[in-house]
Amino acid sequence: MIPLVGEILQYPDSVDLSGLWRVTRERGEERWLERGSRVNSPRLALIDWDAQDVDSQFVRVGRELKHLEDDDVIAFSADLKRVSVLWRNKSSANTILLTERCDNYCVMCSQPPKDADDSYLLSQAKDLVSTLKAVKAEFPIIGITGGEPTLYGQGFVDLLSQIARDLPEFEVHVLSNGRRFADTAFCESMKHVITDRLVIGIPIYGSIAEDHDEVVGAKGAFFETVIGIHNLVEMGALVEIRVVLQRALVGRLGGIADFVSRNLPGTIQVALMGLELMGFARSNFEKVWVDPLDYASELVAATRHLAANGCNPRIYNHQLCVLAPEIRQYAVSSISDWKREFDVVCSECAVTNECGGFFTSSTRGISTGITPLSSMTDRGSVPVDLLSRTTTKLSEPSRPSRRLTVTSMPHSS
Amino acid sequence: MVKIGDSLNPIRFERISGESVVVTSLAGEWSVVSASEFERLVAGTPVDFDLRRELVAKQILRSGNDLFDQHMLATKMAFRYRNIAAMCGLHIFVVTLRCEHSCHYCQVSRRTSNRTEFDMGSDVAVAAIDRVFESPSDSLKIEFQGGEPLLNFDLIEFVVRQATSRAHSEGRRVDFVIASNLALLDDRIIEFAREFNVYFSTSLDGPQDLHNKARPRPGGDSYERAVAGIARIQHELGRDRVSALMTTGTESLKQGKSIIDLYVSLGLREIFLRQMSPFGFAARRGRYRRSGGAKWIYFYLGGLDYIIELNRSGNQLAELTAASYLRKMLRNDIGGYVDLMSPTGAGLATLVYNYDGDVYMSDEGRMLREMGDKSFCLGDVRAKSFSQLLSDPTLQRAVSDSFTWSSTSCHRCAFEPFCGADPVYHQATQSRFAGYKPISDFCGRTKAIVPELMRRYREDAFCHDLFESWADL
Repeated sequence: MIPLVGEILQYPDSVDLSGLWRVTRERGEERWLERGSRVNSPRLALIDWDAQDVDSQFVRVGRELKHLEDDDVIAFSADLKRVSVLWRNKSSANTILLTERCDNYCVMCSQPPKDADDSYLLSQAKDLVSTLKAVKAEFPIIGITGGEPTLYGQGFVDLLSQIARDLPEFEVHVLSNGRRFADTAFCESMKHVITDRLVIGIPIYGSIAEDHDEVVGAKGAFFETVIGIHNLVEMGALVEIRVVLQRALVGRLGGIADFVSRNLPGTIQVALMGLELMGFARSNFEKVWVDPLDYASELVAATRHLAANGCNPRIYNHQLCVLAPEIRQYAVSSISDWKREFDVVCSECAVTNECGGFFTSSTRGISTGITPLSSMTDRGSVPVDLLSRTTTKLSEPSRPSRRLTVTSMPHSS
Repeated sequence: MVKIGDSLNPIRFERISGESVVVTSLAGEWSVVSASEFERLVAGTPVDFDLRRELVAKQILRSGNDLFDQHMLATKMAFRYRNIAAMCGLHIFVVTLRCEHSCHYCQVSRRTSNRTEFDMGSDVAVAAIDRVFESPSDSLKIEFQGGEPLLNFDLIEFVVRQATSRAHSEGRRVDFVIASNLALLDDRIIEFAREFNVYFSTSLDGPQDLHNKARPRPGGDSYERAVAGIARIQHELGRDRVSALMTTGTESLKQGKSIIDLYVSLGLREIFLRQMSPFGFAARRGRYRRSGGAKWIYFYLGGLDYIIELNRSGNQLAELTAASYLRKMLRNDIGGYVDLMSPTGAGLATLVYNYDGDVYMSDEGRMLREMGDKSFCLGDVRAKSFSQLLSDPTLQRAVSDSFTWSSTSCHRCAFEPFCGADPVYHQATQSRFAGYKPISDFCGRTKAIVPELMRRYREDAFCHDLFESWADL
């Protein structure tokens, strides 16, 4: 676990610490803080909790921030007690939290919505983009999440425009509930930011409105989300469908896979995701948690169906030992490095390199099926009767191809 | 009084056994429900919640938001027909009518092999290549037909070279297939096919005796030559470079297993159990009737089950009649098989350039011409552009008259989304484009096969997965 928030132990009274600061390291030795986007600004030494005072003005931070490195970006809280790490240059999982407000109220939300005005987060995000212009990013990938980022309307579109202009090489991954995109005028205003470097991830929790709306705690959400996805796809946007697997869903996963494959054509992939036990998922644990072993067969069937229909399934946040071997090829080691950990028994496992491991937040919600594997084909704890029932090979994961070929006899082409 | 349930969107339905009814949505999604559940649906009384969930998700039952249901159905319908405007990718060149075989069931009315007036000339070929590249499709395919096309191999070479360089300069892709009995395969042809990535499609009716009786040639060695040709192409060019298809004659009906075993033993991965078509000599001698109808269905379903069992025991063999239906049943797609499309694939998906320059809407369309019926002739390839051919009133009338959505009895058929229009078949058998479906073998075939595919898909997990893989062939 790499902490993204830390303590400020000492700071200079005479310097205005507002705005963003970029970490630089000189000659592999001292770390300095420089103003994000301003030239010729004062610079401050960044020193550890146990270091001696230095001659120049300095900021002393808690031991949890020892990891701060060249080209990381931080901000100080208004009360000057905490430091937030907004960008870790060595990470491929940098994410901007744009707001904590949301018009859905999902039963398993890992980031429970708050109603306060937090639009400073949007300004901070725009500052971060300006700051990153000066950074040689190791992984030019940035996530935008919430809350619901599209609640800003034009402000959200402006941020995407700024990224497209200032950080053209960056891939952007937005997490949204998709409802705002049902508004065709809003979609139209997004047209200029749609590129093949922008992916919009949108969750679907049911094949009918009642099911989906119950999970997201908002009546009418399903209709808006589905039409929103259609509008985005029609504009040429890359849309990823996300299904967070939870107790209420697993029994009807087949229906959801069928619905997605028929009704959401042109989406680029379907992410089948394990629960992250944070926020409501933690407080509603009994209601939402289900052991992956208990839905192993549903997950195999849904993955097969999605793969057969060119929907490009991906399995996230699942340990390999709780997945049937035949669908492990779809598993993505996705848990952000700063919150990924392994269990004690994992030390004997031969495939931890391929495995996503656990969320650091997992204290409960560990599958009873966690067991060391000897190889990718070792079935581990997964029941034998789930193992491959046909000799038909699943297609390799790929971008969906829906080319129509015409033949005079139906031989393959 | 029975009322159609308030909660139903427009649907089509068909009883497929004593106890079950298939219900199809406007956009071609289907569910099988029990007869008693169906009664409740129609009466508007509540059904089991899981069933309701399935039916609402398919817009068979109303969701409570009619605008949403309309949007979903319209979107899926648009997606289903998405490629129709840019479809015409298959271009068939009838390079000669001559043939050294004398098959009794010949569907193209071949000519004897020494009369070159039945060969395509280079002026026709040059004009036909122009038409190919005027078509909007992004996956062009040129198929050489006959007669026996290898009897005019010089012209094939010419067309392949011209089309290849044309495709290269336009940045497009074109594939080539020669439909041949392979009897005349030689080194020159193999080397040429290697250089230009040409595929072969051949006829293989079954075991030696059956095949040679059906397909006489001087020397009586059609089978030996076909088998040797298949092996040679597989070995020298690659296993995927040759496919074979069979035509069901009366003699085939009892030999399903041995025909299928032959395909497996030759390392072929696909078989097309195909009913004889009512064209050419096949129609003239009544052969078509004797091996069609219920007899063929019985033959087919037996063969299908045998193929499924072969797959279950580890052999990989796909059956292409089933595959064409399954593509339409399991995917939101009108399919890629010309005969099983509505609007018809004839003309819209394929054009045929006859040896004499006449253009036809389909291969069967020119077969009818040889029988004296010019219904599907669009004019001379040297005189008309691609868009003139496609906007020809003949073509448009055949397309609109046969369109199943507006064709009597098809319009209410639950299997309509999985079937095709085939105006050529119905013109041949009933002298009308739409056809009267209760007496149509084409209709009977869909109505017999589709429920059987549904049953196996739903009841047998192995079939479910096997059929999913066939749907994408």
